[in-house]
Amino acid sequence: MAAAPKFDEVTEISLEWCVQAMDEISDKIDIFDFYDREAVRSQVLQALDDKFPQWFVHYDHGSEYVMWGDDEKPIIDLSNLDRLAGMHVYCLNCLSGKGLGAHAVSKGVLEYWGYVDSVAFTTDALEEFRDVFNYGIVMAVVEGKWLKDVVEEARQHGYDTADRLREESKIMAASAMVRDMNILHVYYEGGPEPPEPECWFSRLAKSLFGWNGLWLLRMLRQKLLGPERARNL
Amino acid sequence: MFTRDDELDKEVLEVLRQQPEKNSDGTSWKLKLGRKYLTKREIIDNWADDEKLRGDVRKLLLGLKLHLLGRG
Repeated sequence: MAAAPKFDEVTEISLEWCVQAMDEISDKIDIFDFYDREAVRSQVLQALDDKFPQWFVHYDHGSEYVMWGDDEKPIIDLSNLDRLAGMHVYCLNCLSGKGLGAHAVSKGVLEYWGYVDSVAFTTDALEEFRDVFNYGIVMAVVEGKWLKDVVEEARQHGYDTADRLREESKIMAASAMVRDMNILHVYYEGGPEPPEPECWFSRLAKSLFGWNGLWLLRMLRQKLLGPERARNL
Repeated sequence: MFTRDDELDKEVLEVLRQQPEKNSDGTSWKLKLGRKYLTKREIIDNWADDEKLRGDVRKLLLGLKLHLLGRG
């Protein structure tokens, strides 16, 4: 299942990238997409119930605890992260790897591919960024592997692409590509523990109550204060 | 090996000055970084006043430099 909302210049680009990725794997798995319908929370959750997808793909703006939808409201956040249980999750969005990714495995997600900071790209190398951002999902599905088994090859592909861009004097593009590869993480059962929270209170809560206890506290904060509104890709 | 912020700033500005304003297809070159999606002109115009932008772009270039050191 692929959700790639489009509501500004940046998401027009990420939607194109998502369409291309899905085209490349469509002979391997059935794709359910939202290109002709609104990728909003209710529709996506309904489709999750109806389709039982193995893969969930989100290309759009993200923030630490939110994957945003077409209506600029959360599709997935801490309160419904468990709806992705049993799935391989592949995100091209800013920051969700840091927050949602850290809690994903404890909520039953098989593996979570995400970026732990803001994703960067430049428009003089859109083809190269598309290729690198799509590499993981295409490689994993085509070769029948898990994302965790292709992430280092994908990262290396990104670094090699950055070197080529630098040789072409596309220094800003090369810099953005290196950054993206540096902030790419895959979480999975038995994998490395998510990084310790930066905030002392979160560290304390995690040490006392574990990741699920910290999830509960963060979800309560989200309910009280509303989802954070920073819209980063 | 590591340069001070002001030296890195000069280096980043030089890289930006050399960056063509237009892509090969004639569209404007833009950098997507965090919440910002900026042309070369917008980055340079905001450079002096936008500390966060300076820090973010500086970090980008520093990341590339460290990557190249790692490559030997």
